[in-house]
Amino acid sequence: MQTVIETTLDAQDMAVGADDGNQYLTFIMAEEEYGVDILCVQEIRGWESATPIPNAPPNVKGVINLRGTIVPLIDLRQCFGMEAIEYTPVTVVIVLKVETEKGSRVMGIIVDAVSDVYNLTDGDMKAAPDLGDAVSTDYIRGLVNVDDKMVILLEIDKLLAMDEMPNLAELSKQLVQDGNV
Amino acid sequence: MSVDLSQFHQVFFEESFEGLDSMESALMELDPSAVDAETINTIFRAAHSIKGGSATFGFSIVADFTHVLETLLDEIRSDARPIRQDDVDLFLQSVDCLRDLLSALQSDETPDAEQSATLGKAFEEILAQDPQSPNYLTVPSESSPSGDIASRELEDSSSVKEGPEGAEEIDGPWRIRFIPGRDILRTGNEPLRILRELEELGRTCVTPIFEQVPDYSVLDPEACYLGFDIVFRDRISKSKLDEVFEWVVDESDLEIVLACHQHDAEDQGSDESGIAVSENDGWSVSFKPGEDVLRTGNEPLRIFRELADAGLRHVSAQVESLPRWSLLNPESCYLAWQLNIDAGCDESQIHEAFEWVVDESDIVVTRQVSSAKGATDAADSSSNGQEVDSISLSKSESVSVEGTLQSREPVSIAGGEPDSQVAIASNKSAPQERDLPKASAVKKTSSNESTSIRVGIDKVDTLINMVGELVITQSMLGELGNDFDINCLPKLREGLSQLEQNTRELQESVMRIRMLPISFAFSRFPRMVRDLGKRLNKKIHLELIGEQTELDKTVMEKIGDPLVHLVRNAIDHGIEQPEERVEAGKSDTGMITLNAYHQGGNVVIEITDDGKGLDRSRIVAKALDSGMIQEKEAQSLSDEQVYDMIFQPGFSTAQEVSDVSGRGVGMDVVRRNIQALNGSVEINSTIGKGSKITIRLPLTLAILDGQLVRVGDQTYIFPLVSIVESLQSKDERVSRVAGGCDVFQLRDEYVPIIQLHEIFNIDADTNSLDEALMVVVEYDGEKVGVVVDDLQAQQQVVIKSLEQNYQRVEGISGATILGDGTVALILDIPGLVKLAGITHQQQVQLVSPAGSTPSLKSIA
Repeated sequence: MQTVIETTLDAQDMAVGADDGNQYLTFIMAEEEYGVDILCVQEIRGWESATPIPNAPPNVKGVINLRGTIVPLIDLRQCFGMEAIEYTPVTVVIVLKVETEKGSRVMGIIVDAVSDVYNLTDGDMKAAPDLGDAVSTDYIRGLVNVDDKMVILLEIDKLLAMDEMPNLAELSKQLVQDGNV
Repeated sequence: MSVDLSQFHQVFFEESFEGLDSMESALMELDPSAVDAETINTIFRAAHSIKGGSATFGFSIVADFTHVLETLLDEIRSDARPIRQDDVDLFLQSVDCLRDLLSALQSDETPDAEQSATLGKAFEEILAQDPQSPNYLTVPSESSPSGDIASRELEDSSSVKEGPEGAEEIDGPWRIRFIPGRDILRTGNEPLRILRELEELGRTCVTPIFEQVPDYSVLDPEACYLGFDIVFRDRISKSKLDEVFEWVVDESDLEIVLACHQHDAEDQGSDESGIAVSENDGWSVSFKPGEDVLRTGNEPLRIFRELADAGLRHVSAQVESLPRWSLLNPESCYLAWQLNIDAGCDESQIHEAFEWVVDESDIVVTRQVSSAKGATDAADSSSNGQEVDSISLSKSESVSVEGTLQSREPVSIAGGEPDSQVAIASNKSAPQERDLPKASAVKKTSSNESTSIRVGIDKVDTLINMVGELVITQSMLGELGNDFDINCLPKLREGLSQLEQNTRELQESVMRIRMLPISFAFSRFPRMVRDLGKRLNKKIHLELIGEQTELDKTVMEKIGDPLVHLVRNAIDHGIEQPEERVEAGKSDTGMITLNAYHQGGNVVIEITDDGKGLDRSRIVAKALDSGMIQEKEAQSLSDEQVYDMIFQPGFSTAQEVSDVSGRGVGMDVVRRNIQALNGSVEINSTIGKGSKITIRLPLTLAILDGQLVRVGDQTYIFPLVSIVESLQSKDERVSRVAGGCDVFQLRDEYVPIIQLHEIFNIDADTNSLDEALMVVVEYDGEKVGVVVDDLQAQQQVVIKSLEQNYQRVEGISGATILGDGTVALILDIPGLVKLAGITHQQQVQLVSPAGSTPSLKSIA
C-alpha cells in the first residue's frame, strides 16, 4: 500500500518535507469532511448575499465585493451534485487563492461549516480509490483517516480551474446515463 | 574595470527616440528660405547626442550614419552651405531610417544596413558638391529623395565612406595640430592610438606641445594636457586624415592644413604654436560679475579655466569697485575682468562659458581686429600690475590660473575696431537654448508603447500633499474613535466629510498621473500631412489646437490609429487639388484643423477640413448601388443618416482606390475603435465648405459615467454615453415582427426591444410592455430599446474586471462597487444585442424608416 501512495504523490508534495507535513483546513458538507491546503486559504467569512451573474451555471452564486476586488462565489455542494440547501448565517464562505494557467485567481467556495485544521504528512494520505472511468478523481489529492473519520483532501487548483469547471452533478448524471445505455 | 553598458541601453533608446522626435519636429518647422539658427541647432544637438550615445554603446552603424548627417548639419549650421528643400526631405528620411535602425537594435535584431548606407551616400554626395557653385541652389541635387535610391544602390554597394575619396585630390605634406580635449582619456579615446594609426598611413613626425600642462600640484592625472604638432610627410587625401580623427574631432582642437600653407601662417604669427590667425586678432571680453556670483556657486576662475581651453590669452583684473577693507565682504565678488581670447575661439564658446553667470553679470564681447599692433591702453596696463594680487584675493585656487596664464605673454589690445559687439547681459538666449530641447524632450516622450511614462514633478508633489492630508485626517479620526462619546458626533461627521474630500482629491490626482497631453497623439500629424500633401500634390496647412488637453494614456494609445485614419481621409478625400480650390474661390492651400478640448467629463477631438465636404448624392447613389437602402427611402433620409452610412463596412465613395485611402475599410474600424473606448463619433459636413468629424472620448477608462437601472431586485449600469434617451413605452406603439422580435415605433423609426429580465433570466416587476420604462441605447449606429423596471441615479462608477477572478460574461462588460458595498454589473450593449439574438440584418431592415408602417402593424 505504501508504495502505491508514494507513486501517486506528485513531485511538489514530495518537496514539502515529509516530516512536518502540510496543514489542511477541513470543512463539512453533507456530513462529510473535506480538506484544502491551508496555504490556499485567504480568509473565511460568513455568507452574505452576492450579486448574481446572468446566465451563469447554477453552482456560481454570484460575485461579492471583497475590499474592492470582485470575487465569484461557488457553491461546492452544487459542484459535487449534492442537494442545494438554504444559506443560513452559519453558512461559510472560504476565500481561496487558486493558481490557474492564467495566473492566480481569488474565489470563494460556499460550504456548510468549517471544521478543523489538521497537520497531515504525505504518509498519512491514501490515494483516491480508482473509480474507473466513470468518475474523475483528478480533483482529489488523497484520503486520510483522522480519528476514524475519512477526510477527503481536495486539489483545489484543479477543482476550481474555471475553464473546465466540473459541474459534477450534471457530469455524474451524464455518466450514469451513459453507463445505463 | 568593466561596466555593463547594456543596463543603460534602455535609457539610450528612449533618449534617442526623443531626440529623433525633436529632430523631426524641428525639421518640420524648418523653412529653407528663412533658416532659423536655433532650429538647426536643435537638429544638430539631437543628431550629435545620438551619435555620441551610439558610439559609446558600440552601435557603429548608427554612429557612422549619424556622423555623415552631422557633418552636413554642421556645415549648414556654420553657414558654409545653404539648406535646400531636398536636404530637408533627406534629413526626414534619415530620421525614419535612424528610427528603424534603433528599434531594430532595441529588439536585438540585426538592423538593415542598406537603407542607411544609401542615405549616407546621398549625404556624401551633397557634401562633395561645392556649396559656392552658382547653381548649387537651383539644380536639384541627385541625392534628393526623388532620386532613384535603388539604382544607386545597384551602382555601388560599397561602404559609405568610399564615396567622395576618389574625387578628392591627394596632397601633402600635411601639418596637423591636434590638441585633444582634457577629457579625451576618460571617454576612452587614446591619442597614442591615433598617432599610431597615422603612422600606419605614412611617415610622420610628432612634436608634443607642453604649454597646457599645469603645475604638478594641480595636475589631474586623468586629464590630457598634451597637444601634438604632427607633420605628415607623405601625400594622402585629407579625408583619410579626417577619418583617423573622426572620434575625437568633436572634443578636440584639430587643424589639418597643407604644410606649405602652414608656413605662411607661421610667418605672420608670433609664437611657436602656429596659430593661423594673428595674435592681435581676437575677442575682447569685459566681464563684471554680480556681487553675489560666488554665493550662487559660480566661480569666475572656473570660467577662465574653461576659456583657457578655448584659447584665453590674457586676463586682467579691474579693481575699481573694490571697497575699503573695513567694508569688504569676503563672500562677495568686487572684481571685474578684461579677457583677451584667441580669434580661433568661436563666439558661441565664449557665450557658453559665461552661460551660468550671464543673468547676474555685465558681459560685453567685442571682436578685435589687429589694426593697431602694439598699441597699449593705459587703463589696461595700469591694471596689469595688480593682476596677481587681486586674483589671489578672491580665491586661493588662483594659483592654477596663474600657472597657466603666466606662461603666456600678456598682450594688451586697444584701438582695435570693434567688428561686432554683443552684449550678453541683456541677451538671455543662451540659457534658453539649453532649456528648449529639454522642455521638448519631456513633452515628446516616445508614445509607442513605452512602458514608462514621465510624470511632471508637480503632479507627484500634489499627490504627496494629498497623502499627507489623508494621514492627518486618518489620525484625527483614529483619536476620535479611541474614546468616543456621543458629544463627538459633529466632530466625527466633520472628520468623515474631510476624509471624503481627501479621498476624492486623491483619486483625481492619481488619475491625473495617467493623463498625458494629447500632443503625444498629435505630434505625428505635421509630418504625415506634409508627406501626404506632397505625394498627392496638394497644399495643406495643418493647425493643431489644444495640444495640452490631457487624456488618459490608455485612451491615447488607442485613439492614435483612428485619428490617423481620419486625418488621412480628410487629406485624400476632403482637400481638393489646388486648381480645383482656386476655381471654387478658395485659397489654394487647404486647411486641416485638429482641435482638442475638455467638455464635461469628456475629451472632444474635432478634425475639420475646408475641402469639398461629403457629397450626399454620391453617398446615396453608392448606398443604392450596394443595396444598403431602397430607392424610395433614399429621399427621406436625413443628412445625418446619410453621413452615418460611411461608417458601414465596405463603404467608400472615393472614385478610385489610392494607396492612401479609399478601400472602404477603415471608417467602420474607426467607429468600432472609438466605441470600444466608450466614445462616439459624428460627422457634420457642408458640400463645398468642408466637413467636421467630432470624436468624444471619456477622460479615462477606469471610470465611467453610468446610469443605474433596476430590474427586479438587481441593479445594472448602462454607460451613459451609449444612452440616446429614456422613455415610457406605450402598448399601441409596440409591434411584433414575425420571428418573435418586438419593435417600438420611436418617431419615424422602429427600434427592436430587448427585455433585460428575459435575456438575463431573472424576475422582473412586470412582463408587460405597456407603460414599461425603456432605455434607448445606440450601438454601431443602430438603436435598441432596453426595457427596465426603474431608472435610478446617474453616477460615476469605477470599473472593475469580472474576468480577473471569473470569466467573460456575455452582455456584461464589467462590475463596479456601489455606495453600499454591493456589486453591480455594467451592461455591454453589443453583448446584449447578441444575447437577444437580434442580428445586424434585422436591425438594418428595422431601422430603415418608411411609409411601410401599415404592413408592420398588420403583422402585429
